[in-house]
Amino acid sequence: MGEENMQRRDFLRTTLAGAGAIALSDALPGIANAGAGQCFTPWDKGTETFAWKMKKGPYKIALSNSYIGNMWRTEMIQIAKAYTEEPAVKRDIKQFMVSSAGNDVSAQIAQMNQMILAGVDAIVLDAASPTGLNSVIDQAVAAGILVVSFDNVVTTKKAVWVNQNQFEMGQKWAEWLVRKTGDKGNILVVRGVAGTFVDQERMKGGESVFKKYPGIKTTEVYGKWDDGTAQKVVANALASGTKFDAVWSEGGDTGVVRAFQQAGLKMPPIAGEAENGFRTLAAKDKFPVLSIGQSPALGALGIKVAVAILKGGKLPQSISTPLPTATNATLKQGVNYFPNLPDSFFTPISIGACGLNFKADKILKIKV
Amino acid sequence: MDNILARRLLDFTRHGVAVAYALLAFLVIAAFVYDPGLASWSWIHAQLQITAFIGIIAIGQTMVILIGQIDLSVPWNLTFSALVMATLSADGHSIWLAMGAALLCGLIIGAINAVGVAVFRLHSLVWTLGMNALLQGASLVYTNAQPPKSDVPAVVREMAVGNLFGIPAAALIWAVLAIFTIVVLRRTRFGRYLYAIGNNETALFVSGVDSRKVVFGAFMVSGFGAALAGILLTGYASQTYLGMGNDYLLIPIAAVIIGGTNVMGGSGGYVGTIAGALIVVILQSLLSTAQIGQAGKDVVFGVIILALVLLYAREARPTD
Repeated sequence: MGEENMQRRDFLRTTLAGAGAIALSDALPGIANAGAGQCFTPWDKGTETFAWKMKKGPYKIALSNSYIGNMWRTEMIQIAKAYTEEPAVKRDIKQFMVSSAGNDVSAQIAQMNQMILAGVDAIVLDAASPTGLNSVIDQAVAAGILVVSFDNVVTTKKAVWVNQNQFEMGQKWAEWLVRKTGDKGNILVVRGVAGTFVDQERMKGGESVFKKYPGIKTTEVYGKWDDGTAQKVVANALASGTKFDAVWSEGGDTGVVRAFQQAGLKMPPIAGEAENGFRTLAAKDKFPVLSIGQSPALGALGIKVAVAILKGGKLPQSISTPLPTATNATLKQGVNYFPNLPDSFFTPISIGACGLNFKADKILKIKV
Repeated sequence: MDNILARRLLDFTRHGVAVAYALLAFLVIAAFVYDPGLASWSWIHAQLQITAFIGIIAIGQTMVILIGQIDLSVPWNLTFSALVMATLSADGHSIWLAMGAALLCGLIIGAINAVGVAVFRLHSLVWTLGMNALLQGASLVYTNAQPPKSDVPAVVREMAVGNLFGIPAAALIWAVLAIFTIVVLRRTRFGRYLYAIGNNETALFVSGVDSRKVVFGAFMVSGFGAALAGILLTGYASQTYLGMGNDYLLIPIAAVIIGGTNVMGGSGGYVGTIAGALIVVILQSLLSTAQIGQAGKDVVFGVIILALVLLYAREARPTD
């Protein structure tokens, strides 16, 4: 019996792998294979390969989202829907469903239970809590359902993790600023939501650089990744009379720049996220900028990873994706910033290395 | 001798408004001693600018709390109304029409809140929380998650961040509304009925007053204040965005309670709320630049609110 199963699986693997390769080359002739190689980069040397039983497609895939009340999340869902509608992807997907539970762990557990009962093949997950969903993930895995977590990833290794390296992001921002300020000066640090994994990792990355330079002094405020809040706390910091030589900001950057402008100050070099308003202001007012953003295409990447693993691909358990970066030199209207779109729009909607390419005007038309 | 002094001090602490202003004075002096750099017009200006938004929301919240209720629909009422304004203005309608529509929207939401409380007799804690969730969904559907992109009209910008004689315009708008509110609460029948409902709604009803109208009034003021704050915040941030109201639920409620209004209703007033709003903003401002980490900030903020509530609550104990 075991042997028989084995043979069938091998047979499926060869046929499906062939079909997959054809599907990929249909979509993006030539570059798809090379791109896919760079795309599924293991997080670090200790990352193990994720073991999963191959399954015959097409698949039923569910996207379990938590909070929905900001533009990053709505774009993430729109991109995920756009991705599953691409012809090359659609043939692998029998059914795709999305639901958002809010920042409420118990609601997301209930939602995932529904998905388990619905008999999906994979759950792609933006978690309300890094640990709170671990037990329901155990249940899903026991029911033979693959779980891929992205953005706010979970701690259990029974799920695959897909994320950008937040530590590295904080580190790159800081290195750039230190070069800009000549190893010394007052740096205003605008943090995100205290207690979250992303905030901690980015700050650790930033501090790993700042602590090497005794001439660098930092002042921390919490902007909660929200333009209005960031504008308020930065306005306060500026009103207290300190002169800042540079800004390291985790988000809400449009608000950060507006606070400086409202105080009548020249914008110092700023390293921050990738909101459209921030990049548009940087392009217009030409202050030195390094913009690295969390891509809302991570949800679509989660689906791509799920399909690849279900098809029998041997992928790392923890996958690190490239950091979408822009500087004054690379800012280009209509490509990585869009003056005709809302300030709160998140610009890095494509992950080129993974073959995920989207057009802003197209994805925004999709119903959330 | 000591006894009398102690008793006077105790009596004083029962007087919420006096405590709030004493705390405010202490906070300002402490701020200036802690960092003399703060003793500048630009710092005070920044505080007034931000307090205006909270103060305006706290007008309705004071009235609603006076009748023993609460309005938890403020965050998405604020966002939804601002989105209505921005959409209409992006579609080429005049800004006055757009603002009018936003304020009307706030009033209607307030009225729906009142229907649940006054007609269906549901507690506002549940009803307005449901309303908040409903408005979040409505905002997503209405905009398809894409807030309209338009240059914020100059009028809205000026109202929010402009200055008149060096004073923030938003603070002046707040001041006018504050005086109006104080007069309404003290000198009008509507004001007296608000207190009466908080103390004993049945007695008011029996004496021939339709208390439902008063409830409608309180919630509609709250809805209007949320919409107005939405308009001003649009001007402040130069944009409308999903979630822009998230910071404006608990802070205005904290301002009302710190200002000495009884959270069960029936006593307090807007004079105290003004001090309460300034206290929360200055406290947040001092804490936001104090390098004690977010945990420390939250603890200090929480301890102050708990201490004040304990101080005021002694009065309300039936055994006293």
